[in-house]
Amino acid sequence: MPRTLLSIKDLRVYYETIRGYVKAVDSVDLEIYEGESFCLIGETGCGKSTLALAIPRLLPPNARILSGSIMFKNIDLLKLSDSELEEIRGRDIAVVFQNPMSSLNPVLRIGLQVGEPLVAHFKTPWREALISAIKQLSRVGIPDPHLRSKDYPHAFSGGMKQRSMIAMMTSCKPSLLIADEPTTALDVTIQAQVLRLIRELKEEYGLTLLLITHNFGIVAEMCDRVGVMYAGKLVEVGNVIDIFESPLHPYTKGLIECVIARRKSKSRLSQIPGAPPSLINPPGGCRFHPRCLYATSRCTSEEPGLIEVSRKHIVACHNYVR
Amino acid sequence: MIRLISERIKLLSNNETFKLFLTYKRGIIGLLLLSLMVFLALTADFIAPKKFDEVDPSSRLLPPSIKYLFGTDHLGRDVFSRVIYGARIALWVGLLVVLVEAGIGVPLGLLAGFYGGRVDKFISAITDLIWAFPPIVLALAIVTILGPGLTNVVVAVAVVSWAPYTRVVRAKTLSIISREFIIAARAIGESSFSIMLRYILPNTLPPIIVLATLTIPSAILYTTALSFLGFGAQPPTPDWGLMLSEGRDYIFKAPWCCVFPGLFITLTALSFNLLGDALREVLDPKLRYG
Repeated sequence: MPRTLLSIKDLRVYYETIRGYVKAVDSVDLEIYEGESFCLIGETGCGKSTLALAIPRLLPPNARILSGSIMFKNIDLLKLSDSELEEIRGRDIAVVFQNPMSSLNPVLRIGLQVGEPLVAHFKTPWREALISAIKQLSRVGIPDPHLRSKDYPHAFSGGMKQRSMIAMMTSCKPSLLIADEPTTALDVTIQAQVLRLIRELKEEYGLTLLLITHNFGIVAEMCDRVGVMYAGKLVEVGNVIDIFESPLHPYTKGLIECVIARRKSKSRLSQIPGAPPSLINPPGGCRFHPRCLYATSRCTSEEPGLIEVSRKHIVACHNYVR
Repeated sequence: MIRLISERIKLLSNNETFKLFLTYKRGIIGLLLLSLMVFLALTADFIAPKKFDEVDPSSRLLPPSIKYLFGTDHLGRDVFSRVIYGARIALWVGLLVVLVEAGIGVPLGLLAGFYGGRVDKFISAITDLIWAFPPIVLALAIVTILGPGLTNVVVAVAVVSWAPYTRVVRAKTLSIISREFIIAARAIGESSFSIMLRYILPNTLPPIIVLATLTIPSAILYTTALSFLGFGAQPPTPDWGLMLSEGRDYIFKAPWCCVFPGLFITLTALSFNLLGDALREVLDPKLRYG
């Protein structure tokens, strides 16, 4: 049995807005094991980024963590003070963001930024940090790292910026790397390269990867286990093969049927009817019931808990057996 | 040394911002005027024909001539020499005031924008209070307490006019703080202090530079005004404001005593304004790429 690196229990993150609380993450339990690649998948606005950013507590100021615990190496991250958290961020937990275009400081040279975590965490002298930054840049495939480390971010392409981000985030060899849709903003041709880089670094440094995406291709490519989120809830967790071969939750089934590559020729592209619900007043019972083809009266009134169907395959649905 | 300078110039002429700046005629005129003032201030010791406090009772209130380019004042001092030495004082004072203003205003703006909430409310309230006060009156009050003198005038003018810096920096901080690279900086474990210092402050520099060029003229005007009123520089300092004040009694008999210091005050203020105007447009990325 692999060791648990991160254990999230009953996490609720709400956003405070004028119209009320947006229940972005609602009572989510999740375990991530050491050394694995875990994928969070779900449509836009289902709370997957919120869940991921809640781990290093990088949420926007209007977010409220109402309950729960996030145990990372037996430390509850939610109970740490800001300065204790600053020590963990970047050293043990690193985050690669969605948009590399705006994730680098426009007025600092690339080399300085990539070396920054070493200076911040280990008080490495600048000269040494710069040398290791150049090594790190060449590791992520930036050509002429000696010269390019003196460039400012605007001189880099999107792919190079994302590579530099990855170089910066892995410079302290963290144990957990959270990648929040790391390739969404990139060209398709660059996406594969960046994903390969992440996978290589994961093997090399022994990272645990938490990848957030809405792309099943990336899931199949990168992950050991998958968690499917819908409307702030985790609805299904399982091995990547189980999820693809025998999805249990109707939402997961619907999502997989939507993948264009899996469509039989000439058949109409399938879709999930309806739209995702408002997270301010989510539907009662199972949150998916208004869009679910198999909904029963029980689904409208009673919220399904997570049921362990088989080892490591968990689903939140009343009538998963059909 | 010369090679180094020529390389620098080559580098500068390839710089996009600099190229864009060259397309603004106002900016060039401002820069030339300012360069002239700086040149006069730096070389005053060599180009001034007389010393600024050299009294010559035999040649009082002489009109401009070859010997006395700008004429002489009531004590027979050469107005041209005094005006040149005055440039030194005016620029130095303007620079000093702006430094003190930025020193007060920028940190406050950073704190207000970064922490928000109560800190922001408190700092913004003080800023509004200072802003609402008529600056000359407040400066007068402060100089009255501190006593006359150029240093005290610098302090007084800075204390009454740092508010724009706080506002500009606060607004810029607010717009930067929601950008992704600040979250990324927090994600690598940067402390609030180093985020403010290394990530936000450098990004607020362009508006600060523009604001500085726009507040130097008003700083110069305020200090000369206080000197004119007798609170600033004391005789025989060749301060332009003081020269105006001394020449006032002879304005009909010997207008050159007032005209030339006044002209130089105007030109200096104008040069900064023209330069600042052009800089604002050059440094504003919206106008640049929009």
